[in-house]
Amino acid sequence: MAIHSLERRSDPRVVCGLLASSVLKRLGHPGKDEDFAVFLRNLIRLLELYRFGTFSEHKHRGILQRGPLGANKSSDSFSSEAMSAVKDALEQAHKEVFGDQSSEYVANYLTGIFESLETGQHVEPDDLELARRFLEVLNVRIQAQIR
Amino acid sequence: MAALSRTQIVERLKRRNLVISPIFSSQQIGPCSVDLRLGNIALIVRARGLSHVDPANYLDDKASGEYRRELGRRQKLERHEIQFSEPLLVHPGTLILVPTLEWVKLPKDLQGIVTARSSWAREGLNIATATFVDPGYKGIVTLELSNLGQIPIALYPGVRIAQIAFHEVSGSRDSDLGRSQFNMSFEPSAGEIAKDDSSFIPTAQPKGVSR
Amino acid sequence: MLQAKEFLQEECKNVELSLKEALRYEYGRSRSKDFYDECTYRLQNLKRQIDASKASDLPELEEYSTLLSSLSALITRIERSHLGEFSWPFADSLELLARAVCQGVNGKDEKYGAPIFAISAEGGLEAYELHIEQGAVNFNFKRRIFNIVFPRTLKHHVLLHPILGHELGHAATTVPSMDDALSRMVLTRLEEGPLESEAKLTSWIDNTPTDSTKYTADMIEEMLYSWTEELFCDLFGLMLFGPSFVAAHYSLLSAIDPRGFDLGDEHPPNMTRFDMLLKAVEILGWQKVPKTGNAQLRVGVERFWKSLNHAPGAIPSWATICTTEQIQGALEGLKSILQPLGVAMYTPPAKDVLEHLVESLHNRIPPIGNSVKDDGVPELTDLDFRSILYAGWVEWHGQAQSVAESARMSFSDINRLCDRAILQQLAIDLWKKTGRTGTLGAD
Repeated sequence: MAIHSLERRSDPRVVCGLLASSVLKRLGHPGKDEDFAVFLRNLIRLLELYRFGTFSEHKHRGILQRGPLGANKSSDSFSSEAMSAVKDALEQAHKEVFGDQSSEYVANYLTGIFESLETGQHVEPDDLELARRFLEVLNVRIQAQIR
Repeated sequence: MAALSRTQIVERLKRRNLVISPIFSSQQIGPCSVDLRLGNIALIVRARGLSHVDPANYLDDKASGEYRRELGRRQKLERHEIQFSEPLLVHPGTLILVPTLEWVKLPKDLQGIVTARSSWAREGLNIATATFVDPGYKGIVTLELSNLGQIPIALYPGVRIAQIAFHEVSGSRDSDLGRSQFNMSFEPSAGEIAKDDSSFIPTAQPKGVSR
Repeated sequence: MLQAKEFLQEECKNVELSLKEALRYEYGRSRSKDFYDECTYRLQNLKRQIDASKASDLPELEEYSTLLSSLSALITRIERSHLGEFSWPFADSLELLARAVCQGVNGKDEKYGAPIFAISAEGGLEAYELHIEQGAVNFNFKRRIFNIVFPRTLKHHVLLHPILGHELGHAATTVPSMDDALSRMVLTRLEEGPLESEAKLTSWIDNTPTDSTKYTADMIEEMLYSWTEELFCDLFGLMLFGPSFVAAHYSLLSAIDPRGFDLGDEHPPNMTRFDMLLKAVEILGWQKVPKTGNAQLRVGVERFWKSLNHAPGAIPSWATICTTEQIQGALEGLKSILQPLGVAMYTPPAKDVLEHLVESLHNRIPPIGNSVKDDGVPELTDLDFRSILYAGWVEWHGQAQSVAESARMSFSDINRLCDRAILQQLAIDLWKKTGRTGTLGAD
């Protein structure tokens, strides 16, 4: 029997916070930082989830695997709760910074900025400022959700 | 006993009376032989964990036990699977069992004889023994490669390393083939060196033999 | 005693060592490098993050610990499985399908780029799995790593490997644009009838020959979500692999649960799944027996479908959970998503192709696209490996009609012939890709 009872799963809230804070630190002075490009890519991916509203974190067993009834549920509750928190934080950042714009607009707009930063292209100061504000609000909102 | 000519080989291949599959190029078919290519498995004979090759380890003997027998066989042969475009290095003095890429199916009236291609032989690559392929055989052909030179040789699955010529066997019947007509050979395999010779090979606990 | 941050810094060094040790073995050249490079990057990134963190950043340290542990587990799983433990020709062919379905819709939306498919083999019949890295939200992935797992003992049993088509359905749902399209166009069709609500599903369960009182409200909620996805994945596997998927699905699931009645919180009962797949095959018109004078082919196809179709009444009426109309709608949705993805969707082979493949197998020759014409000029043809698998199943059933039992090929032998064919067909593809034509002077 395992010494620790909790099945270990990544916490999307913590990851979201790390992404937001890591990119914020580097905005404005990216330099030749491979990590920055990778964080931006993962942020773009997060925006894809937001664009399509696909926040599922469901863990499945292999097609031939059988387990005791109810075994999947406890870890899934945690995942659903955590993913909901990420979605809420994104929505709040969206509302505060972009108002009534659609999630598709917000995702496209921010993806454009992050892709430009990823490839070292110039980004207009106004656009950069909007992106910064979005990440700041996202970071604050998600930190409030982390136990 | 005449070898089949190119015309005769092609005729039989077309009719699928003789199968060598796949053939990639008409140039693979020579005046009286067909080139064979290296397959994707190498069994490298290594002296790991065994002091010597002992036919006693191959006896189907309850006293010596299946564990000892299997250990004796498996430990000797290091098995590698090699993808296309990956090299197999044949070092000087090494013996490697490899399959052909081709699947060979012989009718009951043909025997195949496999020899090394002379171009590789000049580099030191040797097929250790001339391999006979029995009438009715179906499967890959196992080749025993060794490097007689002083420099390692890189081989790649798919390169032509051997050739097979065919001789007609007269008077052969299905009953001559026995069960072998249903067997297929998918893997290169070590020989059964103790087969039918158990009378002359002592076991670990000899029964009723006084010295 | 070590504090959390100290321990994690120590563990980073250990994981780095195990990653280097993994290079002792052969995994296939391109996979090995891609896997190594991705793991190395993630590890170095984690190390930098851990070094920069404060001992008081507890949620972050916990997250780094989880990520490091996952990376370590992944490396160890791959380290244990190298070439020789699974059929790499099948794995290579499967990877092409997997890449196709893990792009976004229309092949352009996946923001991570092509995933890395790491292959491993594990013990147990239930080993068939596709481990998807847990984490829809990640922070240090350059590429995602999917681990496809084959059962060690079934290395050469390529006729059973189509079951992994189901697992590729799960993989497809991890791409946001695909997940969205599949939800709108496929899953919504399945989410009708008993799968529309917990109350309806509860009522459906009450009609099954099972003790429905053991299912709590939580379990029913889980079932509602999971069963829809599992049924969708079955249809996905069917559209990817064709009839071979049905045969593999039936063979393997029946081995686990022969009666077919077990209700799991994740998987619906086998009878329900068989019922859906047989209806789907009927809709797709795949059960038609080809009009051919070749008795081996005709009988083989007839017997293949006969073996899968249950006698009337053998699938109990309670097992039906999706109507024919629902399944038709779901299949149409799937087609419209898979068709633009190139190789992804299964296409039935032409009659003469299937005839050639089945005849080759019947004569104990690996079924490939190769024959010799006049003057020794070979004909090399493209061949989808899924056609080889279907031919394998057809011959398995067909030989029972025309060959004495003592002379029949074993299931294992037919599988090995097909496995060999897939390898040889890869060689043909390689030859043709380099512009060779098989004519004189081309070698």
